[in-house]
Amino acid sequence: MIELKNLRFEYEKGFPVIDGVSLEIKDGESVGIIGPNGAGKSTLFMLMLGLLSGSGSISADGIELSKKTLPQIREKMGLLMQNSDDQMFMPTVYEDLVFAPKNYGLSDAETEERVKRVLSGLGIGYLRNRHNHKISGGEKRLAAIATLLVMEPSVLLMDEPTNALDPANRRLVINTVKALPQTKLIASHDLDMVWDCCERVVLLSGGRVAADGPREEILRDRELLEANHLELPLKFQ
Amino acid sequence: MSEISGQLTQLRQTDSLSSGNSAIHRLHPLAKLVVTIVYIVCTVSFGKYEFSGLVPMVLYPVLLFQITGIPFAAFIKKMRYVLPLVCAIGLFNPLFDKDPLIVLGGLVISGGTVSLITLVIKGILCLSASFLLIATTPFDDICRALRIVRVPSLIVSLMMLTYRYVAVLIGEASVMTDAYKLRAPGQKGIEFKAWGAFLGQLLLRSMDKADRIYGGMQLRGFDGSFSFASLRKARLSDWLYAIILSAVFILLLRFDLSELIGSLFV
Amino acid sequence: MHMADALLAPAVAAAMYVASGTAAGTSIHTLRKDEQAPSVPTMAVTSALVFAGQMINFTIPGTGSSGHICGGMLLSALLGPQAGFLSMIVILAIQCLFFADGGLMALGANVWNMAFYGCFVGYYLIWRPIMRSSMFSSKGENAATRAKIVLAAILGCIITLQLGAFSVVIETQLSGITELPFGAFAALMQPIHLAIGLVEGIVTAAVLVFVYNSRPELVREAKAAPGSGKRSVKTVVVIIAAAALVIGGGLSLFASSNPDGLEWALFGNAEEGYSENMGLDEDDFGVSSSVADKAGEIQEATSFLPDYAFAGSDSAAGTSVSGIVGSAIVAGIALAICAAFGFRKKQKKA
Repeated sequence: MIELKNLRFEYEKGFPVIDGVSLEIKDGESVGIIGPNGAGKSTLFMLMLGLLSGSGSISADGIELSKKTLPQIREKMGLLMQNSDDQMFMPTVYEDLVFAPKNYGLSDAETEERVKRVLSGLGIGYLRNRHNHKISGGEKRLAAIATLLVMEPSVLLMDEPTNALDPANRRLVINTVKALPQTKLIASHDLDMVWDCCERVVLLSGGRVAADGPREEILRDRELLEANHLELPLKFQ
Repeated sequence: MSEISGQLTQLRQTDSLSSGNSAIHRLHPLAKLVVTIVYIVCTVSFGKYEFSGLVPMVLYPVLLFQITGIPFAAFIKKMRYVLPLVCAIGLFNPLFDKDPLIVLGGLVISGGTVSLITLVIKGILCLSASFLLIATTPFDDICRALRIVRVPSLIVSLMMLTYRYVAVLIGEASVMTDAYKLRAPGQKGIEFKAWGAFLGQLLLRSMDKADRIYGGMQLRGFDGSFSFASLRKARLSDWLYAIILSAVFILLLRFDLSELIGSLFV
Repeated sequence: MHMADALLAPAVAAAMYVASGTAAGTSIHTLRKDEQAPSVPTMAVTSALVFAGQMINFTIPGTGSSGHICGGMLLSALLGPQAGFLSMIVILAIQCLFFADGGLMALGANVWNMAFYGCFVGYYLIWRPIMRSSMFSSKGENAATRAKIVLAAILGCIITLQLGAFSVVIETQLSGITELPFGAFAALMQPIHLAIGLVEGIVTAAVLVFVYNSRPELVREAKAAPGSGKRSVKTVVVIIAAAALVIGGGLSLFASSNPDGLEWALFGNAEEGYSENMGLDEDDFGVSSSVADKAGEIQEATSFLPDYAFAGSDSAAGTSVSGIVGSAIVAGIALAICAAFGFRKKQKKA
């Protein structure tokens, strides 16, 4: 269970990017976070992981986010970054996969077991020894997902997971994400993907929660969407 | 436009050459690094008139090109950066050093000419050795080999990480250059008004990128040190390669093989 | 200015590796203790960017030619001298390996010539004193900082490139690979690099001013209070001028009186058979000092590589007629190897 209470954050004084956001997310829920550009979706994720600090409280499974609890929180919550090049910084996929386990002190045996499991679970065993600067965008995206899963988080924060992918890779990522059992928060402009993957949708606008409800309610509400710089998902147009 | 993307292509080509599978490719990176350095040092150590002693050193790159199957044409392109300077500097030798050194029948060759030719050949041979190293050994394997010989981890990590992003950033620079060119027909490069903004924008974006990467590292528990995968253990063949070739180069330096062979006939 | 391996003697190359290695070691040590040090990703990404940036052609107005950025000054102004230095090392290593721009054995020398001067001399003797000075203060804070950036970048690039070019001359002379007299070589290198330094300085200045305008906190010492420098600009100028006079004057004395003056001064006259201790005999020739003795020791230690001849030497190392015949035979062997492999490849295909 994730609890966000009255989060507030501004990059520049007087211009809050997150302006009083409160949310409660239950275990296993898949929540889509939608909103116009600049609504604060990415900022929200960074606040939840302690990369930015604002005011308000954040807690996951009863653990309150503070400087001391950062490692614990970050072990629980994995972030899939918008740009996979930013996420996959090691020379090879394998080295990226073992980066977090090594830092958290997992044994070599345990690390190897997890790596094998995650790679075969995603069907990307062939990427294990490939160089990050040589694999395609879709492969990098899946490898990035693998680097999250290897820490066995209970919550996944995904920032534009289908961004810049060709249709086949997009479909692959959607199917992969749908099958993941963890609690998921997915920020995206790809409303069709949000429909496919999330049962609940939160509309963020101007740093505030403008709407929060089941997908059928939010993603079929043409007026609400258009008032917030969005449109109906393509499948409903 | 063409220059940057040309460089990127060159980078990728050299990179893909290194993932070949010849006997040389399969050797331990450290063995290849050692042999390359010994070769270069020996080649450079030949006296400036020791043309005939130097010639047998040609056999190493020749053999390697053949065994690895790396196209010689890929190497030729590389010579354009430093060879001109070597030639330019060496070109003065025949002007200043006119004393005859070799007399072949009616042909008199001055010391300066010999030293020029020797210098140029040295230049080409050294370049070929470095080229063959990078063409048979992936860059990060060379970095891992450096770690074995105690090059500080900060430098090695920096090398690996920089290399990871070199293609990405050249790609961005290339895209920006293309975009610029499309709006500035007839200009060969970036014109004065845009000097600051062009690279400045790229720089700012890169700083943001670096911050994101660092954030991602922190999320995964980064504590300041990287643990990169290590190289495989050295095998007997690696040791033999390193020791035997190094010994051969040193012997060739000490004894003029061409002279020995030639004296059998002359 | 990248030097090829063939232009250096192993002893000179080794000495430059030691020098650059020491600078690198000290940089790492300093960075470890510095809390304000840029993160490794910042250094890596900025290195990669400067690497890419050095490929960009900036057209010089009025001429047809193009200029590039000065990596050393740019990196040290953004990352600080130590981080900038290490980043330059990486750039030079990648240039050396992937583009054959500079030799592997010459890397130590190239690092010294291009990175050391650019990052350390450029930063501590030029960038920082100017940025901390109270020059241009009549213009108002922002305009003054911009002017200081321009001045520091241009001056820094010019001076560090001059030092680098001069070092190339000294290193090739010490290596004895060219008959070109010291004075003539310098007379060629310095003016060319003066022009290059000026252009690179202007380009670098333009980029830094842009960055300052958008994100001033990224430019080192941009927020320094005017007049806060420990060393005033005047002092720095005096130091640089004095050093230039001493080096230039002293060395040109040697250069003018004897074309091989530099070698003569350091290593004695090789014709007298001083190949053993390189003429460092206190009684007869050359410079006598503990440094010279040390240099002699190093030379001896590295002299397992025999037959190493200096300019003017007619030692036994050379090429005879049988040597030429033998060379032709060896060349024939090389061709035979190529043919044999080519034949084997065809057989495999068939």
